[in-house]
Amino acid sequence: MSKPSSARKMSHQTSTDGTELIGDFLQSIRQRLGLRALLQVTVWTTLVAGSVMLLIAMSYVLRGHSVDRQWYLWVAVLGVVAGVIAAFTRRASVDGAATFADHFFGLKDLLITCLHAGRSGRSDGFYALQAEQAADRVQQLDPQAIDCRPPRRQLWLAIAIASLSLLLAFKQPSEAVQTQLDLETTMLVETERMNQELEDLVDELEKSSDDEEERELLDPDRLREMVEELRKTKDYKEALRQYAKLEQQLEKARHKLEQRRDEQLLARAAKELEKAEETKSLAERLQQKKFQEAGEQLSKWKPTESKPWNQQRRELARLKAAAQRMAAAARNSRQGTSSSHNPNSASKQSASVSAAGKSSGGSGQASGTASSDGGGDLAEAIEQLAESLKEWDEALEECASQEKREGQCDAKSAGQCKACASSANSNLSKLSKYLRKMTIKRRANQKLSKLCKACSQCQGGLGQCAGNGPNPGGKKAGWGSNESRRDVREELYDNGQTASLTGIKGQGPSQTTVESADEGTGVSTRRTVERERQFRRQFESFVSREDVPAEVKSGVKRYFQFIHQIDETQPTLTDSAE
Amino acid sequence: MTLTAEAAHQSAEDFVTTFHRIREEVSKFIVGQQSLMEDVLLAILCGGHVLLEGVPGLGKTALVHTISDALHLDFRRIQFTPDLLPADIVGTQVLMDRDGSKVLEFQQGPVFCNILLADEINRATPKTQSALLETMQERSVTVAGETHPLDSPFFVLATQNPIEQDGTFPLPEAQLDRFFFKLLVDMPTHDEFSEILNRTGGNQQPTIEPVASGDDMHRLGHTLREVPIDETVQDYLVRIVRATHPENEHAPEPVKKFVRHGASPRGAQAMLAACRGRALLDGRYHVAREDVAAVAVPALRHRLILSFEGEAEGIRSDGVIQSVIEHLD
Repeated sequence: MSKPSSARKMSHQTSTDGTELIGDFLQSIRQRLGLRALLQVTVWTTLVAGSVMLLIAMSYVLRGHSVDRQWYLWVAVLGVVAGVIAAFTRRASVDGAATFADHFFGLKDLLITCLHAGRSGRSDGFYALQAEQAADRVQQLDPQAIDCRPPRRQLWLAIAIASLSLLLAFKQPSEAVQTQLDLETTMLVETERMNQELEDLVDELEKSSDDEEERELLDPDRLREMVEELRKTKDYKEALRQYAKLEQQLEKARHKLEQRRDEQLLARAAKELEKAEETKSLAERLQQKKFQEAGEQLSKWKPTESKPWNQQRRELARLKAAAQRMAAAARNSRQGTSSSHNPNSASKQSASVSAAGKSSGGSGQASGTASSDGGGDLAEAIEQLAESLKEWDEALEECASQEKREGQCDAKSAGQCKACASSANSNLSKLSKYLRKMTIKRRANQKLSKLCKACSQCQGGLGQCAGNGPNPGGKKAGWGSNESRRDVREELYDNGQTASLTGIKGQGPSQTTVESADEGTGVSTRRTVERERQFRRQFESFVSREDVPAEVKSGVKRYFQFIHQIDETQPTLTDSAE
Repeated sequence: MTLTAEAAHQSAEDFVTTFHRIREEVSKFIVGQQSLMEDVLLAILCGGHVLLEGVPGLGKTALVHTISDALHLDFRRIQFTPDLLPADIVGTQVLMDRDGSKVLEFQQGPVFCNILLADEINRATPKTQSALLETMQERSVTVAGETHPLDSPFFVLATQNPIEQDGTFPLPEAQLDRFFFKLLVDMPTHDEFSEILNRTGGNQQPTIEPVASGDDMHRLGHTLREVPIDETVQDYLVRIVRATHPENEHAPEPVKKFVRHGASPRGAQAMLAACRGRALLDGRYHVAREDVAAVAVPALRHRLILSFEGEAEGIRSDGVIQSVIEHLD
């Protein structure tokens, strides 16, 4: 048996030296293993972090985006933290180092046995021999023989993956994505600006509404709430939806102020009044839709009751004539409405109503039906006024003839005349109030229309923003055609914007409105109005674009003017449109 | 009493020197079989019994005989046959005439020796085989209520033929467990074959000189037990033994599939002693895992009881033990 050289004269000193020698050797092994673990952890951390970053980068690149560089920072920080934790936990203990050295140097558990023996304080007999043997062996060993180099394959793989993921950081986004990003930015700015403009508009509307009744009709607080609900967004569809929703709400509010029947009735009355010279001025006011002034004028025509009967009667004649003409128009209007209620016309109307319901997306009421059929209240007021004036006139005639016959009018006739005058005054006052209210409603309606128009312009403006990229698609300005039929299929430039806004049935405003045709012969203007609304919207949205050159704008203006000239000069075009 | 470093070194030196001296002496007659020879000597030095398994004519008996000559120990041989009775082994009481009076005296059987060669042990009936149980474990014989201690040292070296199974009685598990090692005797190589013929074919026979004694055996056995084993290595040893049990959670798949019962703690004791001997022979003062792995097969192969599946598929215990070692490495 080979004996350790120094064991024969072993002393306490040599034993201590041997222990120190083994301790130093194990410390060197630990350092070596620590270095190796650190390098391995670094390689593996780089490999894992690089792979994760590559996946993240690919998820961006495959979608056409440029990689968000914040990810690199986060992954790097996480990688470093994970690496430090892994390196810390993989530190070799003294026992681990001894076990490793036993395996690596073929010491057959010499060091671990020696280590445990030293810990248990055994240093006699075989333990001393063993310690000496271990000291002799470790003197011949070099800890540097432990290879610290990380696995070559993993190292190169980690470098390759990390480099690739870093290279992807410099990849620019695709043209389509860049366009989309620009669009989102523009959309954000535009929606903020539009929201602010709408709020300003509501402020302005509120300031201009000094009449209490008008304020009640408009309800500016409710309007402000609706506008304040608008959010700035970068989503084109979301932006369109919110403006469309606002427009729908405004349209609903505006429908409540509709008085088309009444206005038609007054227009008809104006035509009747125009026939007589004495009532022409009243007709003019009605034609100009100055209903309040018309009411005031009617009040002015009221005879002075202190004057003689004949003079009163002469003064009343103009008022009576006007009332009778207006009543005739009301009767005609009512007859026209009732005639439309006969079975034949009823089916037509129901068809038109149902069509309107479809075309308007079920948005609610058909326009012009806010008041009762045939301008119900207004017609009734006019007829009552005409009736009461007639009775007053008869009472005046009776008084005048009595005065002429008997020298004076008896109390009974005078009282009857007074009662008739009172009734007529009451009816006249009622009609004047009605006309004044119509004026206020009309004004409120106009203001709401302005707001609706602003909403519509917002939507149009958003549409232009969407097409304002470097490749807006479609044809160049001025190269389009209004012909619905083309012989040759024309290729359009695809700008990649294939998303389309899909509406929800029953939601949102409609461009189509139901217009009731005027009574009697004539041509319906429904389709024309619809087309005009479309043209107006296109025109307004186009001319308000800032990126369109001035000459193109003027060309578009001329184009629409040309269209309108054709419509005016060639009514057959409208007919064909129907 | 603990040894000093000098005394420990002396003991270890003595162990190795004696071992090599015995081996060299045995090698004068036995050709080859170095590993077998070392294992048998190691078992003897550890105070264990050995079961040698091999076909006839491979030199099992010659090996045992030569070792006994080299150790200068009393050697007896029993040829086990089916009609052998326990009394033929351990001895019996016979009626003797002593000074005119008849007395029953205990007549010692062949078991009263230092080295007993139980040749073809599986040919005896279980009853006779069991007669060896007490002698192997207690190293004493009890006849008619009187216990007679055996000479010290006492080793049983049994042989059995693995091929011829007709008229044999497989050793019971309790008997097998008392063997320190079960060693397989292989065919000699071509050169060894020639050398055997050269040595045994002539008139001149090698003379085996005694190079050790029974006291030497005791002393060397004491030295063995001083060799330290680290707790981690001992833990490894215990895990190997425990992993031979199919119900153990760390048992490998072959154990779970083919083993019915694993090794006993006596197997672990045998392994520990053999490991210490191997460590000293390897020039070390401590036991290593390599020692544990090296002695696992001869120390455990006869202690595993294979299941029906294992028997049916012809699984050998050696393969199962190797799988356990590989599994725990």
